[in-house]
Amino acid sequence: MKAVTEKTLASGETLILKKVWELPVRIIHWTIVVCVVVLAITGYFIGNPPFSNTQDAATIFTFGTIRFLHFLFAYILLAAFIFRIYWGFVGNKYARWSTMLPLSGKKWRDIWREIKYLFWPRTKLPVYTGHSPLANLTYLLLYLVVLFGIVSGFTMYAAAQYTPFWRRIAAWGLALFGNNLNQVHFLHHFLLWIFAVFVILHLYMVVYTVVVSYTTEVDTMISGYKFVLKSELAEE
Amino acid sequence: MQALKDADGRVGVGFLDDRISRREFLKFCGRIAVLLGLSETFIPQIAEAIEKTVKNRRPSVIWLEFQDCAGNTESFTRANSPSVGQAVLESISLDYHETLMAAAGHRAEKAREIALEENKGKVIVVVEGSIPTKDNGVYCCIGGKTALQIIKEVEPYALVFVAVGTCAAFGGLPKANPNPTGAVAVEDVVRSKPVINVPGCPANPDVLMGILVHYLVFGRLPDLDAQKRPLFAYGKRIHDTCERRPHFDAGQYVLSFDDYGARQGYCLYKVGCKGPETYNICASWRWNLGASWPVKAGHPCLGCSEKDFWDRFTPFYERIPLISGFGVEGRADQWGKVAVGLAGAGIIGHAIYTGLVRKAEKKAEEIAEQEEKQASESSEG
Amino acid sequence: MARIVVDPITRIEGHLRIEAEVKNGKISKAYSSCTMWRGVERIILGRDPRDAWAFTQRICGVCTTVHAFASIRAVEDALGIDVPPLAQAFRNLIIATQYVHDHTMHFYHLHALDWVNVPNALKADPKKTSELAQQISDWPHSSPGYFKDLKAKLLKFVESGQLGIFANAYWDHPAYKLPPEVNLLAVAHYLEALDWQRHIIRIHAFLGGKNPHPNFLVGGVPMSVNLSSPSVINTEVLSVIKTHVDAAREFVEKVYIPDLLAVASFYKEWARYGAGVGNYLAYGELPEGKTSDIESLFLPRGAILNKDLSKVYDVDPKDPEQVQEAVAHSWYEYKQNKDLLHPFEGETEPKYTGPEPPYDYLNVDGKYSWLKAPRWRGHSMEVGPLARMLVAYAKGHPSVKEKVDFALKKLNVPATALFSTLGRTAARGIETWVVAEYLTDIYDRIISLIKAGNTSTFNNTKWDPKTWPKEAKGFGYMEAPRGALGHWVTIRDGKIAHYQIVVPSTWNGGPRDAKGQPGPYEAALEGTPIHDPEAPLEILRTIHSFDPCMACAAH
Ligand code: HEM
Ligand code: HEM
Ligand code: NFV
Ligand code: SF4
Ligand code: SF4
Ligand code: F3S
Ligand SMILES: [Mg+2]
Repeated sequence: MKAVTEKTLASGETLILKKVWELPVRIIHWTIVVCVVVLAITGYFIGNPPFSNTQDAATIFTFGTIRFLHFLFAYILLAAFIFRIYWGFVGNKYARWSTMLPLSGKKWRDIWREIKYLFWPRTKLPVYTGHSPLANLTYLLLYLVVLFGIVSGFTMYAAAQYTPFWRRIAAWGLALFGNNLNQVHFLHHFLLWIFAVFVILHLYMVVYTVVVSYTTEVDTMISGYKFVLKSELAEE
Repeated sequence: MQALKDADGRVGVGFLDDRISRREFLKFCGRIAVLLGLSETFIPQIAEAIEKTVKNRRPSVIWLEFQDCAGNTESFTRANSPSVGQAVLESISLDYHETLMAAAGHRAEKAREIALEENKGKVIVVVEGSIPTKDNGVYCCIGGKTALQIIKEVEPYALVFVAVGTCAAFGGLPKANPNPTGAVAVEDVVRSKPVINVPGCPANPDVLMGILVHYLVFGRLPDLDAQKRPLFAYGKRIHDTCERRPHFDAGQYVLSFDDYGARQGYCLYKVGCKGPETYNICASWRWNLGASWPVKAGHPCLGCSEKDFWDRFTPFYERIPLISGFGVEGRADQWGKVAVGLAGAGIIGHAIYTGLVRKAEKKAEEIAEQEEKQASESSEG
Repeated sequence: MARIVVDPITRIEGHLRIEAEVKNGKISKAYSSCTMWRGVERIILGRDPRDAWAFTQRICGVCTTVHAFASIRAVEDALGIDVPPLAQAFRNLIIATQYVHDHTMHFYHLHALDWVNVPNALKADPKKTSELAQQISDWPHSSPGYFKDLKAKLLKFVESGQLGIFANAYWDHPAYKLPPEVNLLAVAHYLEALDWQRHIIRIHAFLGGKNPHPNFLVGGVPMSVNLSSPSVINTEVLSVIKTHVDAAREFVEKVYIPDLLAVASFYKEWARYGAGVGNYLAYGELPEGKTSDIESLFLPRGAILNKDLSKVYDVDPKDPEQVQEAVAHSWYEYKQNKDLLHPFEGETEPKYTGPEPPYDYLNVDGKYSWLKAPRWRGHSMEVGPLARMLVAYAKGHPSVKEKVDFALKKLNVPATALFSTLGRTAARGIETWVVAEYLTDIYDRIISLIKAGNTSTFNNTKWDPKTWPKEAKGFGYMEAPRGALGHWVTIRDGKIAHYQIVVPSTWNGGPRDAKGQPGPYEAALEGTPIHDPEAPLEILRTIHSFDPCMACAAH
């Protein structure tokens, strides 16, 4: 349990530490983190092999191993992703798709207000339990990028398997990209950079919320605890 | 070339000698069986089917050349088995083919008309080259008619259109950016008849023969993929059939032409090989009577059987194509790095900005506090 | 006045239309029109110069390789790249193979049926054919049984009623003069050549992966040599290549040349027709030293004017006054206000002004072709084997001189017979013979280079675009089978900024220029007798003697 469990904001509102992220969400989060890191590193090497071995080809399998790791973690990523989708229906309110999807005009207005706040931080920013609307949006986008990586990746993967099952997968996947494997490949290659940008932004947003809006701790995604408004808790 | 003598001491060559021809013929049927994934027991059946067709009327083939380079025609003459001589004399009736036919001018046009009328609905129409559509198609005329007019004229008589070569199948070189003539593929203009695409630059001749033979033997056209390419030839990537693949898996690459790796036959991945994205038969059947194929001969695969490869696979010696549309063209990785740099710079900028704003706020707060203090002090006083 | 239209001209590469006016049984004026254009000179812009060979190679699948080499040489010239001697030797082997292959196929598969009557071969006596065959050559496939089988096969084919590519031709034309036995012999060799060419072209496959459209490389050749690796060029590959080199030479010496002389002896009157412009241009080919070393060319460079073999002019394709193109009668427009433009400042701006298809006649007073009209110092020039043989002959090339004199003697005609339809066809055969011998030499040279440890096949010093100047211009020559080919490139900031191609069949098949000077096809047809305007076989003979390639010509 945390040492500090309550803090008071300048505005006079009181924040209370509350468990927001359930264990599965946290496990999924860190699984995704590990997968993305491994996929990015192995993917980078797949894209740009940094060396050329000269030993007997029969005794080494360097690139095969790199690709194997890429595919192994691709499967894990897929599993985590599927589980997260499921959890979005059964988890607590902070993890629900109903909360996360910006389906109302209000949510979009909140997002806009937060963006304004980022560049004109003199207005008062409301405190949100769970993700702030903007963070929320970036996570959704991040999940979309993950999904895109999975779809494009498994399309390429399927294209090289030639069993009836994988052929069908490949046909579906390729149809999404104008039946052009090369296009899939190109976009998948670019994925690495999209991820890099998102992760940088994500980490900054985490630090930002820790420092500026006080609602997150650096270890929130480990402990699951987050500061929430006392007033809001009372509502529940 | 081998000269063989028969019992009478006669010499014969190739298919001109019936005795050799029979053996070659069965060998050829065996090849077809392998090609179509059938067991050896099918060989007699295949042979019979071909012979039957040959005894009856040979199917009429009309070969139209539009915006082409005749590379597929040349390729056709290099076919392994049946050779083009065998095919033309024994299996098909090539009733129109500008590059090969004896008749010219009006007589040639007439030969086409006759063949169309006599074989209505049964003509196999091979098309080589793309079809220009800009300015009413004036960029390709034959006998005073545009390619577009000719293809429309032929369409009702066709059984099937076989678009041979990447130009006919996908538009190919003429369609490459900026496509000065509005070139399109056969399937973009033929609406009422099936189209089979046999891409490649040029197409492998044995694939074309394979399609004809499939039709002769089974009385139907082969199975196609989503891009209308016959699966028996385009069902696998070059990369999955390449003899350099063990070097790929071992991380052994050619880094520069004629380097140590090149002299060992290492993988051409790093010098731009498009084998991982290209579906074709090159690696398994090879070219020119099995002599070689581009990757075996030390050059990366250009991906010549893929749609728009002139624009999407270039520059050829880079693994990943350039991104255009940024004003200046750039490489994907460069733009990726730029994006990451911008994101980094953006957040640093934003952090500093936020810090400054907060400092100013704090100061303002302090001042306000002080003022308040002073005010309360003075009111006390 | 009757205007004959032959469209399509078949048994050529591409889309050529000839319109000819006939007066008193002779052609008085002829118009050559290419009816297809793709715009390669525009498509190539903005691309990586190292890729240019692949794009331009696809201009033509018949003379495949030649645009690739012209392009590579242009880029190497611009960037100052010299290729290693072994790479140069391999390139020469590829080029020489291309000549032998392309010329032989032209003779048998594109040209022969102008002289050889296929149905008439059915009247031949196989035994007499065999005697004839054995008399002119010791080529082994010459037994009576061989010709008997062939005749039976041909009969079966004809009786099937489906004549395919032989249908509806001018077989009843009186201009066919060969006896049935020669016809049967030629048909046999038509088929044999069809088979033979598949084999010898494997040389290209070993060195470039496939044919048509083998793969090449700026700075060398893609294939490495390593006598201790199973994966690259090694002893085995070299010895298979040797087999094909020998087979190539044997066929030329024992089949092509004897057939050519046998057929030509029946058509000597064709030494009187088809001369054309009488000006000849050759850039030269097969550099034994550096590409830029013009003195080292096995087939020399030069120009001849007015059939005057006593003077061979120097040719410099980079000189703005020498090679130029006109568009007065071509479906293009020049923005620069000039009649003639040198390729370094050339323009390719299409502007179709012809009749709306379908049409019966072109407007030959206006623009009428997709070809520009190239000129050398303002002259309309013929290029091709005849031009090359004449320049070499005039310069005293020993092998060329020996073989030209041999052929003239054998046919019992004077040297002036060379300036004709027959001379053009004979020159192609003679050149094939000269080059087939060269094949053996270049093969030996490759072996001795490898023996001496000279195995480098690629110069990578200027591969990286960072090593290139901000702007560079280059010219790449190539004696393609059909004649002098040039590519002119400007590279700016690592990309192709300007590209112009002037092709052999553009030289030969181009339309008139602003002065009304006809191109070589047009000039060659003037004066040709036409027996029957409905069956203008004579037009085919002269046009085919040039071996037109329209995909090349218009590009
Ligand atoms: C975060 C996610 C991922 C990243 C950053 C990533 C990154 C990359 C990169 C940079 C490449 C090299 C592309 C090239 O230049 O050739 C690559 C290749 C590939 N990736 Fe991923 N990838 C990710 C996820 C996946 C997933 C989920 C799959 C699913 C199977 C996958 C399958 C592949 C395949 C099949 C290749 C081609 C490898 C080959 O066959 O050589 N990737 N990836
Ligand atoms: C490759 C790296 C990473 C990826 C792809 C990633 C992805 C995500 C995603 C998708 C979420 C939303 C969770 C959900 O609602 O399902 C999330 C939330 C979060 N992540 Fe990460 N993450 C990464 C790295 C990190 C790291 C290194 C940290 C630790 C400092 C971190 C801290 C957090 C926190 C604190 C949240 C919750 C923020 C909130 O309350 O709104 N993440 N991350
Ligand atoms: N004309 C021409 Fe070509 C040749 N030879 C090339 O430059 O044929 Ni296709
Ligand atoms: S696909 Fe290639 S070989 Fe074919 S016509 Fe086009 S450019 Fe020529
Ligand atoms: S050479 Fe090309 S096709 Fe072959 S393994 Fe390497 S990348 Fe794949
Ligand atoms: S370039 Fe084309 S010929 Fe084959 S190896 Fe590649 S698909
Ligand atoms: Mg030009």
